[in-house]
Amino acid sequence: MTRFIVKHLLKAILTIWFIVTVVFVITRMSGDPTDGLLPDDASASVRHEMRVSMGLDRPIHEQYAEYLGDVLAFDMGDSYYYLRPVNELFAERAGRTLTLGVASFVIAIAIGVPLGVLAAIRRNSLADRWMMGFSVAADAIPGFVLGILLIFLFSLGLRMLPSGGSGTAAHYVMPLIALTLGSVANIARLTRSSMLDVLRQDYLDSARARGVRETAVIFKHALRNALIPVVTIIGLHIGALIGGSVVVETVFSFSGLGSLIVSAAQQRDFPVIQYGTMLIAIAVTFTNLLVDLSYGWFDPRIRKPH
Amino acid sequence: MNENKEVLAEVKNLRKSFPVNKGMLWRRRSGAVRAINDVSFNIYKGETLGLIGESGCGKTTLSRIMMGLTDATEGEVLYKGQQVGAGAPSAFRKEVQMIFQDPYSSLDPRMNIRRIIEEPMRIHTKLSARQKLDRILFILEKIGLDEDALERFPHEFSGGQRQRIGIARALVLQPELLICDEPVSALDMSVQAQILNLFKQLQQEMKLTYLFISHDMSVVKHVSDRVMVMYLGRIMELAPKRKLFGNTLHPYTSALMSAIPLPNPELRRARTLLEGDLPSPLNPPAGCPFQTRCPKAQAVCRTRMPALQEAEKDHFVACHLYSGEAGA
Amino acid sequence: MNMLLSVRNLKTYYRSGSSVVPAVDGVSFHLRKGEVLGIVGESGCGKSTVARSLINLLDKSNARIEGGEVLFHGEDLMKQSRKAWSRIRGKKISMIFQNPQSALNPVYTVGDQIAEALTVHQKMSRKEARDRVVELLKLVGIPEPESRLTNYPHEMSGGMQQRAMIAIALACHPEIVIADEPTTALDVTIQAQILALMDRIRAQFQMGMILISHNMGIVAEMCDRIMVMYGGVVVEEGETAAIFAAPSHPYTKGLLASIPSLDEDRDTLYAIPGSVPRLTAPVGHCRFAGRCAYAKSKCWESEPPLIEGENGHRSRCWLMEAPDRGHDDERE
Repeated sequence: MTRFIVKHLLKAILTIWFIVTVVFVITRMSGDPTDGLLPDDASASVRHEMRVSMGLDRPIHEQYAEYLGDVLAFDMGDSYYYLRPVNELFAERAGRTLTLGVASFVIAIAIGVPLGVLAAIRRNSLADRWMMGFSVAADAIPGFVLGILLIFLFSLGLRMLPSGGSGTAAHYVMPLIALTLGSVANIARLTRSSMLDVLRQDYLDSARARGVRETAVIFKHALRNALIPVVTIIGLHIGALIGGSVVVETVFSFSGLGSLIVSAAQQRDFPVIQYGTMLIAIAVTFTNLLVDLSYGWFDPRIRKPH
Repeated sequence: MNENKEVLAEVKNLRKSFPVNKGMLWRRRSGAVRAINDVSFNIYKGETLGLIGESGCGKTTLSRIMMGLTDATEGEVLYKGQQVGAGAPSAFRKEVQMIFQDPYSSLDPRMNIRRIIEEPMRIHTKLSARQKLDRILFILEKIGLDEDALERFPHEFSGGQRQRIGIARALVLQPELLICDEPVSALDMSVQAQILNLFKQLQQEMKLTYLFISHDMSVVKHVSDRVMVMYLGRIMELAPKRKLFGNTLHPYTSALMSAIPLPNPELRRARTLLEGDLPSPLNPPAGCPFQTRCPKAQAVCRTRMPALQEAEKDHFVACHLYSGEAGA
Repeated sequence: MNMLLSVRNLKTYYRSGSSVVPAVDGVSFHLRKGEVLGIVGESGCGKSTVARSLINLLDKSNARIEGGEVLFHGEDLMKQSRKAWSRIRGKKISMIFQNPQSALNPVYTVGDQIAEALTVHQKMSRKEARDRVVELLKLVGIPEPESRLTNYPHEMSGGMQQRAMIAIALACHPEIVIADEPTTALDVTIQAQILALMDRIRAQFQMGMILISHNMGIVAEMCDRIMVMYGGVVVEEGETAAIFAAPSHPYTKGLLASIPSLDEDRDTLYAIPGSVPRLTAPVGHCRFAGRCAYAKSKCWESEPPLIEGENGHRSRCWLMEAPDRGHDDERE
């Protein structure tokens, strides 16, 4: 087990290093950040001075070496735009995005899995058909369209919820719905088809034949097997969730990490982009590591190959 | 009986091992499954050589090598004196055909019977449409299906009829050697007899040679002229049918025969039950592979694999009981 | 005379599209205490459907019990509630399946699955359950039971898996064990071990056993009485010795003649012509008539009843209605 974790940790670190490097190179190729920071009529010498102060005049491999050194020393640099340490900027907003993301993730699983199980055991019933219809529709609507529709309905129409901003609990409601609905649908559909597969298996009949009650047959014997493929997809959802939160935060002017990174990209605020993508890379690789570990719990054939 | 017989195929010191890899980041070889271990035998023209064995004995791997579908690790297979393998001559591909176990999955469900039977001829011959049809009709009659079967699809046939179609496809190139891998195990009892009779009838009419693989001893006994018994990748005993069944030498062969339930309640007998499981081919026992379960195992069996040797005329056995090494 | 189970006119039909398949079409039999009853037949004859009907494991989406009763201790099993079934299954009647690899849940240890068979029926502590599991594993001949119980199914061989399934079936000392092709998925030498084990355990616990098989050899060795099924009905029934010594139904005769023998050499086997028919309900003729060498017009006009011969040996064939037999007395 320890070997398994160490091996996967090493792989995760390798992955993160790779992503950080690619992002570093791409940002340097994306153009001159002083374009956005200085007025259009700024003189060439002013521009040059600014680039020197940012260290952008040096060869890229020197910049890269310095950047890696800083990262290892947990120095993420200052934002070009806000002129403040990137760490501080992120710390202010991370809580909100984290709340949004974790809540969305938990809700998607908590609703999606039971819905899928229900649809599978009531296959072809009215409930099943409604569920499938809803799921296709919810999956088809992009988060930002859904966000705008929600604003029309709840903010402009019913005047129940604030259309944008962040701070109170009410500010979370619509972003959460916009972010989560697609995932719920997706997980429900996947759980359903995986469950239908498992419901045909002999070991359920053999459990029934030894006197196990139907509820235990479903929730003890079938569900754990059905979740094995679902767990893989849930891992992939983390990536989609982060992408989705960037869009949704922008739609709802929700002041979190997503909107920070989007504006940083527009302003060529390299330190913010780099730190943001690194955090995302860390989040994704580590949740995938957790998924891999839980995979072993769900499926002993992986934990103890024969 | 073999001196005046013509050798059709010759298997010499054949070995096949599959590497087993471990590790995710840096895969390294951690061992090997020895599917086939130093196997040599001949197939004579016009005979049926039966091959019997339990799971892991190597019968499937052997048939794949003989078909040229996979390469041997060591040793060689000669067909009419020429080596079988990736670059085998096209004559070999035409003359050696295979019949599979599962009549349900071995036929393409989207092809009608005409196309299924015709396909090998499209690949291997330059016959005209008329000639192809003549051959198809000839084969169809031989295997006992009506002409109106041609435009129908596999799902419209029963298991036995599908196996007939599989046989027709194999026969349409007029092969000499048919490798039959458990060809009747998926069939119902009443249909199994029909197909077994068909095999015998076709052999006489078309001068076929069979390598007939099965786990069912009574089926093997019925169809074969000679029988080869394998265990964990090795030949244990090889003899003409009457000798093998009338004067069984190898303890494993005896155990196999004793294990078969006979359809005669008056013959309920005291069995020599083999204890324990079949060893894993990944981790075979030292010495003779059968020594862990053999009721007659002795010290020498645990250290040295006995060679396959002719204990009596034409009767080969790999057992220390007959090599003079073990005390009787 | 110690009647354990008595089945009368059981009918289980499958619906596929618009057609109705009479998988089991009026099957009657009984099972005595300590007796082994064999049900033998080819695919589609209804033998497995009988087994699944008896223990209420039919696929409800297309199978339905159309009629009949199954009396067990004076109660009709066909009228039990779902709750009542969970007290019968595993405790009174249990089942051994064809493929142990798929009948064991891959994500739980073998020990857990055997323990479950105990704890669903009686309260016991973890320690008690564990001790009983070890005892059961010993009983079914699994070596090193203490360490084997933490194994997952994939860590065991097919033979060991089937032993574990037998341990599950035996956990509560049921009165009846239904074994549906219990050795079909196993190698010959392992099959012999499992059959010997089943025989020993049945004798030890004096259980009634229904052994379903397509293999004439297995039923000949294991069973006291045999029912031969064809097309959803019993075509012949009697003591094992009587059936093998003097089969009376043309189908049974044909089957026995078509098995290649280890003792004698025959050049060609007897082969029943044709293949197993696909029947739809209702059937108004002898189901075997289309493949029978003795079929006459009467066989196509009405379906014969089970006609009694000597020593309770019964056969569903008009040929049995020989003049010297006098009357036909059907006891269905």
